[in-house]
Amino acid sequence: MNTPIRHFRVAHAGLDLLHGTRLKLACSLLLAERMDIRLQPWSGEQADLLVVGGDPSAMAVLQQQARTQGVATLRIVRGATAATGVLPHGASVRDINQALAGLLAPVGEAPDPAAEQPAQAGTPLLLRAMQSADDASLYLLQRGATRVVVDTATRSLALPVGASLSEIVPLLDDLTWSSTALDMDTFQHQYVYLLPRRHSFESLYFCIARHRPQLLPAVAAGTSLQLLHWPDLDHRDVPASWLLPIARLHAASWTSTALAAASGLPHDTVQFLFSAAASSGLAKHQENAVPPSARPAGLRDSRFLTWVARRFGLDLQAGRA
Amino acid sequence: MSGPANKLVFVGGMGAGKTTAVRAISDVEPISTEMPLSEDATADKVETTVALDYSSIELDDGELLHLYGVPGQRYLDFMWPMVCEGALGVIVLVSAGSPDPVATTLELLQEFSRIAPDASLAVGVTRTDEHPQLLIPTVRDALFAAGFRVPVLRVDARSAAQVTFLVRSLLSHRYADS
Repeated sequence: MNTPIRHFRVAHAGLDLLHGTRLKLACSLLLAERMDIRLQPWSGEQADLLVVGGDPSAMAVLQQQARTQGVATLRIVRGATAATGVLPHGASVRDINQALAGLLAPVGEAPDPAAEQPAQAGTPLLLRAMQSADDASLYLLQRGATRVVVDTATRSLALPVGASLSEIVPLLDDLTWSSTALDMDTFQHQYVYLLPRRHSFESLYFCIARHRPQLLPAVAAGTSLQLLHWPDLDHRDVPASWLLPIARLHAASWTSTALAAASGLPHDTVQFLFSAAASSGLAKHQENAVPPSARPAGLRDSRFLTWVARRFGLDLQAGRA
Repeated sequence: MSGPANKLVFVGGMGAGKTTAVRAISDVEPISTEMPLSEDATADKVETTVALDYSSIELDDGELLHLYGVPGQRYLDFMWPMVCEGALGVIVLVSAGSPDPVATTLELLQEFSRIAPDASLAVGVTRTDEHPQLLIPTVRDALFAAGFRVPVLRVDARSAAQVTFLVRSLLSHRYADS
């Protein structure tokens, strides 16, 4: 893909010699990503990005100035941990380069109607990209400094180091997302090193079920389903109270009403699990499924298992009268 | 077996994270049989378990859950039946960076489902941060195709929260399947 060179103005203020020099180097290296940077001291005039460091109170004033003009900022702060728009004091050329690339990528992009699709109300753009009928597609999704690549061939998302699904999910229905189709070469050369982490579609759907369940299509009430497989779950996105209903869905077919009663969970929560299961393609629908009978009382280690479970923060008795 | 199943066994190849996982969830410092590595040393691993790791967790009523970490190497398979007698669960740990993680896992699942037919099984894939291309559904689906329908989760063996989540998954799976 022959990407045209894009031109940016990056202003700086309050940086010491070390960070100023690293910023210059980081900017020059952005040419490799076809970003041409003109670096200038901050004078309150228009810029695409302001990089600030130094005294915290002066930094706050500068950041406020930039905010009023709609200019994004990259702050270099002592004692900070790297996050969107923030780098710790001592950040390397590579750190600064990656932060600039992330913050500038969405700036001033003229949407190419042939290549890009702006977000529309309704199903979030990222979810639509995941549901693409094309079996082997790559889509770059961008919103501000947030970038995600959707890989339909492996049914996975590529994210930056340190980014979690639970940070992406609250932004999903933001209308400023844009989507660009990528070819494999472009992905390999420009994005693999920026987005090295992989998360399966499944794990995203269960993360949505936890944090933004209304974004998932609802499963009709009365539907019986069973999980084909144990889902790919992230410990940060799945509370302990969900594991037993997930295990039950894995073991047998249930209706949401029966499963909610058996698990002691609100019916809505179980419906969210059903939605995640259906969206992720793990649901096996069954007509007229018979709810599983109560588990046998004489299981050899049931009491001991309950103690062990309690020790690990699980309540196996939840929902039992 | 007369008493309740009261063992939890972690098994896996060298560097899979058995010792680390046992240590992450133990109440007490595990008894370990680690020796310096003379070959195959990696930058972050200078010792390996030559026999087993043992620790325990005290439950509410004073009963103990016994934790074992056993190497998955064949030359140590004589100890597998002893350790697995009375196991409620066997967790196979596999490094995402191992040469063939699916085949390694499958071999251990086949062995331990035979040795410990009453134990529930789960799989933890470690080091996925270093080898992000290995996706959990890929491993899980391959194991399913070979006849194992078990929880497969990514886990950082250094993280008590993640090892605990894996154990919770195994316990839920056991309870729901019983």
